[in-house]
Amino acid sequence: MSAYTLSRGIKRTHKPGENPWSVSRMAALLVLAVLAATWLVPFAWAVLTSLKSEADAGASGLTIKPPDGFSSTRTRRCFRRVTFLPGRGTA
Amino acid sequence: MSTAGGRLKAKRGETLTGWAFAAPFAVLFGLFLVVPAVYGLYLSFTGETLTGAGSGLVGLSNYADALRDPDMWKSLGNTLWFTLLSTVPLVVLSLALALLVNLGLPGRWLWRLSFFLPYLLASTVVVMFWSWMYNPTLGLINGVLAKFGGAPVAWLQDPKVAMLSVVITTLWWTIGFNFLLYLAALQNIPEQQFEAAAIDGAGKWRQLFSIVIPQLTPTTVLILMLQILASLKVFDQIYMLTNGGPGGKTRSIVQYIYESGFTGYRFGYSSAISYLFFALIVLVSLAQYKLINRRNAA
Repeated sequence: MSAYTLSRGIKRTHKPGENPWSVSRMAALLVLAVLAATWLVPFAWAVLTSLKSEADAGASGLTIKPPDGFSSTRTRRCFRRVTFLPGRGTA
Repeated sequence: MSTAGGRLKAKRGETLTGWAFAAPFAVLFGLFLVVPAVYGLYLSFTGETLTGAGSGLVGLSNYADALRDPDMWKSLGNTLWFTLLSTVPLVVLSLALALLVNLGLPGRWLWRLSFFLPYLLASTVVVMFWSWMYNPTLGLINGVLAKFGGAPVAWLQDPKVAMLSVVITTLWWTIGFNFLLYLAALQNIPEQQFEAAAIDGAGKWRQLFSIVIPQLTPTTVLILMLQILASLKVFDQIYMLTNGGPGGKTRSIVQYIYESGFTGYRFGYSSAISYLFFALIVLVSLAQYKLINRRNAA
């Protein structure tokens, strides 16, 4: 069930004699990929929104790439305003 | 006699040393846990309010009021509903995810990271993510629904789906912990058992139901216990996502205790509900403990 270490320390992820490209393994991989992508969507959406301008972030409708392009203004403003390290940059 | 006296003295010295080592913990435990708990119990028998009016002893009337309070029962019902809705998928889905990741497919670090990452976030960050996603006009979920021709849903405002939205958020946020426990338990199952089963002709599904699931039972019991207790105490995500709304449909008992004490300023009444809720949690824990003991004895 776990990873197997080959003689040169290279890990392989299937059992000896097991077909690594079997249909069941590929189906499991696909399910796992879909679930992992679903779990990462909120992170991706938050990052995308942080890279939009105020107007684009507040516009209704699903837009991945905003009409005016991505902007790092809000992220830079956040770094300018928040004190991440004591004594370095203040509000 | 002198030897016996010496032994007694040495034993007394040992006992004193033991107490000295335990004292820092005992003092902090008493100060920050026992004293507030006892004070809370005392408050529950008083009519204590912020203004101090009518703060004398009122006997069991706070408890009687709480048992007659429909809002208390409604909040308790919401909490039990949330516990039921969240515990089942949090156990079943985390097991399924752990089984899939443990198959040894390529990119295991990515799968583990994906499912565990949300657990590292603070509740405020989780709520910010999801309130943005649930937004009826700007949110991602309604955006995707609209792309497929679906009607927009008021995820946090519609009484029919508000609790479901809170459960989805909780599922996304906390599944990583259960997933990790299951994954650790799966990796502890000796490989020889699978090899022996394979020699005996057992297929993958037979191995799953005859080796994996039975060996995971202690982990499942632990996860169930932790999950039920955590779900009963739910507060932050509900308070920040819906504030108990719409129409009190998602208000948990902990939020009701908080509101009675810090919005209604009825400290005595709030303490009484806290102790009733505490009694319920103790009962649930005892029932689980009995079940585990019976299973272990069998």
